[in-house]
Amino acid sequence: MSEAGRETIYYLDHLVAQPGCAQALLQFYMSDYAPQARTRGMTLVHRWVTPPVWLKEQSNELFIIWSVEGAQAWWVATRLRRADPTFLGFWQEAKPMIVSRRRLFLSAVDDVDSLCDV
Amino acid sequence: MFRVAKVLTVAEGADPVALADRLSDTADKSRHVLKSALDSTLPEAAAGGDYIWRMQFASERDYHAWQDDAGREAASILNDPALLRHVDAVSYDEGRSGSKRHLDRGVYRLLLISVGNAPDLASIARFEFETYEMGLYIPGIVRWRISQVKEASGARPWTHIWEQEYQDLDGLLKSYMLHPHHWAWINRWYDPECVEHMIDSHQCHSFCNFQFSLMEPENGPSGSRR
Repeated sequence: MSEAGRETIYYLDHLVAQPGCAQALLQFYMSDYAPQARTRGMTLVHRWVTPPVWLKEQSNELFIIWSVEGAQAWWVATRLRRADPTFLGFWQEAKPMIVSRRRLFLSAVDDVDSLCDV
Repeated sequence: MFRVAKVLTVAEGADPVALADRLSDTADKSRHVLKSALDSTLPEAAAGGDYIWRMQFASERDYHAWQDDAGREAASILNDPALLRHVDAVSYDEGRSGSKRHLDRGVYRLLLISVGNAPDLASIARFEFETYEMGLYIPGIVRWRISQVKEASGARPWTHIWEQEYQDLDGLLKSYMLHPHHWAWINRWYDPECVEHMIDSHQCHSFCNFQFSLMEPENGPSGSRR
């Protein structure tokens, strides 16, 4: 359980890559998106792939997880992201390599009560 | 009930008090207006205009009757660039609302949004329901209402008005802003990086103190106050 107001908030980018494209997609994400995200105060926590083999004929799924410390930091990062349209440029350019994607915001289950106590 | 909300930005050099008095008079002297409140926005409402003017009518017909009567004078004031630099305005039938308790006074906040990029009507209905649910989950929201707009003018073709009442400013700036139902759930409709994004990134957000509520028709006296 984290200190109130300093709970770790996670961003999960779940990307279903086009068949054979997962490595290139990840590389583009890391070279284009990740540096911008870091300058907004986001910390890269995990880069996961399933299945853990680069498929040529089928889709890999990528799970890229970022974090910030506390809801205030989440808003700071969000305002900076929204003020900077280059973030959207990445998603536009990456679109041909993506079958589907979703962004989710998560926390540890032990932090739910503290996060909601505002 | 039929309602009108306007966020007014006074032109440089205009007398804001005289302007507010003149506008309020157009409501006071009309039998078609059930209630009217014209309140100064709070300094924390950056880029949220100088005044919020809200009016309540028994029906849309009464609203149009006011427009054809004392509302003509209001329109001439609102359309005068020497008096007002910008006006965002909506009229609407009451949408879904909730209330936890009575509030004699507090902070009223409105958000005008434009759902410009919705994939289908089901997404809009889901957004409206989840927005209504914010009031159920977020402790600082005391009263709330999400409504579809009938007529809009201003910076965008506003499609919805999301209104809330709070006991104090902390309810808005802390409880509402920091609750995960807001940033981890509702946010996805507003966030251009989320695939669910469908709300135009330019919104009209403003808030003011209120001395009597216009959120619940049974509360507060009839007539106009400022």
